[in-house]
Amino acid sequence: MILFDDVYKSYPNGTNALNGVSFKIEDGEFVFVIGPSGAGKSTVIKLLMHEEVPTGGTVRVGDFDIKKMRNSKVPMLRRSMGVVFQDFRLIDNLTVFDNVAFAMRAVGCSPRTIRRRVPYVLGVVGLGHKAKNFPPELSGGEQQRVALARALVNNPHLIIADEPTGNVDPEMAREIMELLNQINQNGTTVIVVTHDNTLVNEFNKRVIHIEKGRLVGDQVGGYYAEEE
Amino acid sequence: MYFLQSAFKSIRKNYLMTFASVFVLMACMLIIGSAYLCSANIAAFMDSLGEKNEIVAYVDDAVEESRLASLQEEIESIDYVESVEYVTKDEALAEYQQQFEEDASYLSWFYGDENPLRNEFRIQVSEKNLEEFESVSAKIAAMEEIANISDSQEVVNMLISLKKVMDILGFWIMIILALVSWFIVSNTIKLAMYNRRHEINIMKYVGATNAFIRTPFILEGIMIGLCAAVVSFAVQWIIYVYLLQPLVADLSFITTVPFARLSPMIMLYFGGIGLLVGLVGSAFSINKYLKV
Repeated sequence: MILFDDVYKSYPNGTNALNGVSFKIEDGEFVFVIGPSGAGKSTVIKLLMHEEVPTGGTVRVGDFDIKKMRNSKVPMLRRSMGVVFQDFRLIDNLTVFDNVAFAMRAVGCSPRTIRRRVPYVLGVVGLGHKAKNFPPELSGGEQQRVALARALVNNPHLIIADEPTGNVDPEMAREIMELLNQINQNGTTVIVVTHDNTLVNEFNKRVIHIEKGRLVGDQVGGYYAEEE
Repeated sequence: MYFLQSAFKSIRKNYLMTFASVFVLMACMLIIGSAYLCSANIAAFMDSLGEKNEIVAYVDDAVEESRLASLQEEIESIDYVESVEYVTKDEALAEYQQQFEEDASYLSWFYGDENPLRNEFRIQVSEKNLEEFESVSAKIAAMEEIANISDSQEVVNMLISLKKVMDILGFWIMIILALVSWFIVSNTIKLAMYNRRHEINIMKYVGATNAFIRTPFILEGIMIGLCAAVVSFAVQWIIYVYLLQPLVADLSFITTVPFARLSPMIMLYFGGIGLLVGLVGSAFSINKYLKV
């Protein structure tokens, strides 16, 4: 379960990114977080990952209290989630296989487990045949699927996708959303931060709408109006 | 295994900087090693002089032979004198000629067939009372029948101060060079980290611990340090055995300490410096990219 309770976040340069935001996401939910640029969406993700800590209020992710937890526990928090970024963040000189395996090595999995698990996850995202390719040889959509495989490979309870369709064509964007939807059906909580109103409206999920650091809408089947 | 692979990969990618830091570290180690070898040789030379703890008292030519036995007894009766040996000037000459072979011919060149040496007493001072060495030699020098004496005290004193200077100088050279090496290694590791900052960033996002991320870089630092230590040891050995020893062998009054006897200490110094500089240099340079 994820809980934001009256959360404030201001940065040293004086920006007030969040002003008293509260919401709750249950296990197994699929949630879109929407809002214009600078609304505070990225801050929500940074707080979830403990890249930042709240200035006021409480943020909880599972058993972790983001504000009070010790730094040494941060790796454990991050292992409970998989993150997909708009710019993929793949390592160009590692093969697709190694990019995914990398996330398993980083948490100390044995080579044997890695050899078994990586091909399976690459199969799930439909890239089993590209295991030996390098990221620059792939299209944007394929690269994002590699990133998704990397996020999935350690079996997290939570997937956070930050503008996952921002750098891919509309058709591929749809496929990636389908994949996230599938992952969610298997019980993983999915949070997608996006600008893409077409997809939000098409997938008919819970929508948390943030503007100027405040929560302005939170409803299932929420509609994302054309950007103002 | 993963850590080693990762460290080797980084070294390969960063080979110019790695080479530079191994080279600088090597230069530092060689200077430190040479200072140690000098100091050890001076110490050994001092020991060899000290072992003799001998005073040679030359008897005035005017003293008659009948007086010699009582003179020897008088010397023996001085406190702390262990033994006294009488050597005639002919025996001394024969000894000298045997010891210096070719050079001895210069003597006949100067003095013809005449023996320029004097009869002498060789006096051993008790080793337990070396601090009395000076007072004993002063007493003997004051005797009327003794023309003059020679002892190794002055040389020993000079060497003691030379060794002190070498030790202090060596210590400060070591401190300064260790700092220089630390600076170089830490910069190499910083560059290696900069090259891999994206990887580090992703590792942090997937939940790698700081220790896990640090380990390959620390290994890289240690490898640079140990590599420099091994190469420096080989170079030091070549310089000492093939350059320095043959050069010094021409000076018959100095003998050098065999390298094998000093090598454990050199190995310890180089290995220790390499390990420490590699470890400290890398451990302190890694924090910057871990703050995500």
